[in-house]
Amino acid sequence: MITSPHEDVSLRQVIGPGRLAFFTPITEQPILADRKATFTLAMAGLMLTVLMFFLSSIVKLVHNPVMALRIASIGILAILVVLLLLAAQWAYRGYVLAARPEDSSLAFYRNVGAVSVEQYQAAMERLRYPDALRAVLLYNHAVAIQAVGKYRHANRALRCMRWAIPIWMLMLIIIAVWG
Amino acid sequence: MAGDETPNFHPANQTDPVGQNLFPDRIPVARHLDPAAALAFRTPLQEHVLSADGKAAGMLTLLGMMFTVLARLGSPLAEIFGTGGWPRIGCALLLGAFAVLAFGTVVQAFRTISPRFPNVAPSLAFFGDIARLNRDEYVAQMEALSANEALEQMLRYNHTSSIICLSKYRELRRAFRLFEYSFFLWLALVIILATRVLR
Repeated sequence: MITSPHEDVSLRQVIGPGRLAFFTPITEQPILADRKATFTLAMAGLMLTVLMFFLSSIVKLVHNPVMALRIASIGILAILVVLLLLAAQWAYRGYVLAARPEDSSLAFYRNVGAVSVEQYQAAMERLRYPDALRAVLLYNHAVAIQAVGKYRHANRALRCMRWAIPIWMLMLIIIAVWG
Repeated sequence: MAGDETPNFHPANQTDPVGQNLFPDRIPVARHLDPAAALAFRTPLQEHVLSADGKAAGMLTLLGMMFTVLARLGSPLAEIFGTGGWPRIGCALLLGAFAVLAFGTVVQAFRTISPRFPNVAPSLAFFGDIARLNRDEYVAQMEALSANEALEQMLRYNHTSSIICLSKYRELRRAFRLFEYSFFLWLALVIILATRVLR
């Protein structure tokens, strides 16, 4: 059985940082950003599918004898497609952004899984409190960098969707009335 | 173990003063209660953010379906617009009001989803502030913290997150109100159009 080191004079020194480091609410952040990216990808897919569903009406609109309606339809469609492609691209880039493992921190599953269970157990048994603290701090920092990157992409995607969704709704109204 | 003078930091050991009440992963018992740390490090906040975002995303999805159904009923709508008179005015008003309210709902839903960070002092518990530091700066700042300073950082994080949550739910409530009105308008429109199709 793995037990914590019994003798460690530096324990009191790491109590404060240890509390904050082990309980820093950070692992949820990349997941939260991924959910936003997933929503963007799903919504963009749904919107394009619905547009394809009304393709014959869209063709009618594009060939409409009323010039203003024709130009408006083409313009709206072009803007919509560009916005959706941009949103999907940003969302996907955020979605696939991985955390970069730091050194040999035993808080990273990649470092844990890369060695045998005996080696892992031996490394864990050798840990002192400051080592464990450092391992989790390195993990926190890497996840924070990953979360910031993911949010940057997800927020760009959401900014595109903020415009794309109302434009898509307008397009459906145009299809319903004139399509 | 009898005769062993080595301090034991295992949670089961009831006599060790350090291990018992200082690490937050040890269940705080009345004897060693450390209420501020126990609550601060376990205040559940992220679930509320996820819940608000999920509801806003759900509303946008429902609106998407509502618009798709409306577009699908395009032919009876075009017929009504072709006839003129009161049905035409009524339908145009319903459609216009529905569109305006739906757009309002979209704006409010995005205000709920988009992160808003109030201007507050940085906290070492917040991922954005951690990422602003390089790795060595972060490790050094963390290692220099005392227990009270660590608690203060966590409290600052909890407070900022709570402000963000409050703001998200305020926007979400407005979005729900607009969505409810737009839903009833959509329902009226669909009933009118479906009745026309059935005739």
